[in-house]
Order: sequence, then structure tokens, then C-alpha cells
Amino acid sequence: MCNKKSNKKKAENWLAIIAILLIIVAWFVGGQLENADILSSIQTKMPEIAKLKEVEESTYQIYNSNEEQLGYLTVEAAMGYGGPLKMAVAVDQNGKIFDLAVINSKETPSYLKKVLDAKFLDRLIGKSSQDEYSLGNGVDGISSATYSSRAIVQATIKGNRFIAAKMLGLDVPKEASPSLKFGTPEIILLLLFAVGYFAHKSTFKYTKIARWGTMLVGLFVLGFFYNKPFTLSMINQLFLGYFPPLYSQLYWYLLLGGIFLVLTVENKNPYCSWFCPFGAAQECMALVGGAKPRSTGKFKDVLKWTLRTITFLAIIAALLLRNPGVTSYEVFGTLFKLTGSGLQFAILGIVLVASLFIKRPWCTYLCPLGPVADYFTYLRKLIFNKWKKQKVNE
Amino acid sequence: MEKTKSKRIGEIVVIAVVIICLGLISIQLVGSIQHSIDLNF
Repeated sequence: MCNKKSNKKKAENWLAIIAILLIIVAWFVGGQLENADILSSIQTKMPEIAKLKEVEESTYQIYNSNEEQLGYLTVEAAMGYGGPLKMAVAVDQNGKIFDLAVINSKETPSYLKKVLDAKFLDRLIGKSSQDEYSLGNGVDGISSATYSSRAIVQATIKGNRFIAAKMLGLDVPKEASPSLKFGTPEIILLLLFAVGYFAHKSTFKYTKIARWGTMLVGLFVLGFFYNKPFTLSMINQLFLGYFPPLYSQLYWYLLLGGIFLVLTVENKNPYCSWFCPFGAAQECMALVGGAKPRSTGKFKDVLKWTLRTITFLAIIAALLLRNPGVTSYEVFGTLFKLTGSGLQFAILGIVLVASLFIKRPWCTYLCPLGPVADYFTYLRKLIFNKWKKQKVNE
Repeated sequence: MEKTKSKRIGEIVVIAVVIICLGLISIQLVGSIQHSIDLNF
């Protein structure tokens, strides 16, 4: 019995190491794949352009099929929700944008599709390098895809002004320095962490009330109002090193920083049971249907390892594609912003109905963040034990 | 005996729901990956 347990532990240790090695390999391979042919992508997405002549890195003189020069094109990037979003910006001889295309993006496909289907790029066509505009100021964003809309506008402005200044010799307005965005979601997030911290103390009497309070705030404010839950996409961003700008996405740093800090120091998950909006939605359904934790008998381990495998493959695919949002299969946005594919709506429907009878079915059997937290806790324990052993030997 | 039977049925229902969802999630993942490849390469 003891031998069996020790063998299982050994196998888990090896799996943990192999997982890290595979993540590193996928990271390198993804880097090589990313440098795919950008030129053919431009010509496919901008059929008016027949010929490109490189004048400097990522900047081209562009011609139509009659060999007439149309102007210049440059590829510029800005940070979107999932990572850098690359735009091809075509500018005429007067400094006006006449064509645009998203060449490469790390956004969640359904969100980017929403932006492109709404003909958002057309709102920027005809803008001049002299025009002063930003998202919400001269250009309306696409609701629930604000990060993608902002990245498109920022990359477009950068590209347009670069061509105007460097290629056409025109004067361009100076870029205003961005200011730190510290608003309601950030304040609420800090308050939720603070309430969770005090409610965890053994002297605190109203733990149940505090937990329901944080869950409902999480559900309505972080979920339905802001749609800012913790997702696999954020973990993929960490692995890929796509850190969003601090000034515009302070929330990202507070959420991830807070969760991992508490996991490291206290070995407790401050998010899932306390203010995860989707967890709260399931618990509300459970109140209606009287759901209970349900056993899966001898299949418990099989289901646990299936979810771990799917999560691991999702992370590897995100690293290979250099796209953190692509494998973020959660149905959070489907519930809170009604954005998602037909399949996601089907999954959401099944999960919500199941929540009436099974306690937190998504969190228990389907959420990719469970295996991520398990893995982190496992590594933490491994490192902590080694460090403790070393200290004893000293 | 009755209790064991209903518990067993409960287990089977949970497993069936989870397997259906995992299947749909896998199809969703493959679709997203394919879409991303089509969009970027």
C-alpha cells in the first residue's frame, strides 16, 4: 500500500517536471512559428495592394496592379487583451489612412470576430495623421471588446504617424503620456481581497455572510458589469510574457498578483470560493435547486486527470500559437456578455442546469483554473519541502 | 439497497454530464485553434 503511494508520488513528480519541460519546448517552437510570412498575409487581407517594396524594417512602399504608388504601409503593434495586436496600416501620400488589416493578434477569436464583423476598421479609414482621436474620443469602441478596439486604434495611430513623420515628412501631434487607470473595478477588487483576508481569520464571526457578500459583488460587479473574471488566458499571458500596459490594465496585475501572492504565502486560493463571478452564479443556481456535492465514485481520478490533460494541452496550444486567448475555453463571457460560439452557449446551458443539482459542477470538473492552482500548489510544496530539508541539513 | 441504487444512478448522471461537457469543450478548443491558424497564417 505504502509502496503504491510512493510510486504514485514519484510518477507525479516526474509528470510535473515533464510538464515544465514541454511548456518550455512549446514556447520556443511557438516563437519560431510566429515569424511566418507577413507579406503574404498583407496581400491576402489587402487585395488592392499588388506590390510591396521594403524601405525599412516593417515599412513598405506600396503599389497597385498598374504599378502606381499608393503610398506607404507599415506594421505596428499595440497591446490588446491577450497580447500584442499587429496592424498593417496603409497611408496615402497626404497622410490619410486608406486601408487597414489585423495581421496578427492574440485576442480571443470570438471577441476579435465581433470587432471585425462590426466593421470597426472602417471607422478609422480616412483618418489623417493630424487628427487627434482615441477610443471613446472620436472613435466609438465595440462594447465588450474594448481592449481589442483600443489596441487597433493605438496601433493604427502609431503606424499612421510613423509614416507621416518618417516617410512623408509631415508634422504630427505629440503623443500624450498615458495616465494610470485606477477606477471602480480596481477599488472593488482590492476590497474583495481585503474582506476575504479578514473573513479567513478564526476570530471573524460572520464568515458565511462575508463570503456571500463577496460572491454577490463578484457576480454582479466583476461579472455582469465589468466582465473581468480570472481566466486561463491570463495564465497563458504570464507564460508568454505578454504583460499588458500597467497604466491601462492595473486590474490585471492586481488580480493575478493578489491570487498568486495569497497562494504562495498562505497556501489558500482567495479567488475561487470567494469572489469568482461564475462560481457565484453556480452557487445561486444551487440555492434554487438545492444542489449538493456529488460523488463520481471510482471515476473521480479519471475525470480529474482528463481535465488536467485538457488544460495542459490548451496551454501548450496557446504557447505554440503565441495566442493566450485562443484556448481560453471558459464560458464566463458567454454568461456575462452573451458573447461566444454556439458550443459555448450549449456548455453554459448544461452547466447552469447541472448547477441546480450538482454543487459547482464547472469548478469541480471543468474549470481549467483548478488544475493550474493545483499545479502551482504542488510546485510550491515541492520547493518548500526541498528548502526545509536543506535548512535542516545546515 | 434502494439508497445504493439511487447513489449509483446519481454518479452515472454526473459522469455523463461531465463527459458531454468535456467533449463539447474539446470540440470548442479544436475549432478555436483552427480559427486562429486561419486568421494568422
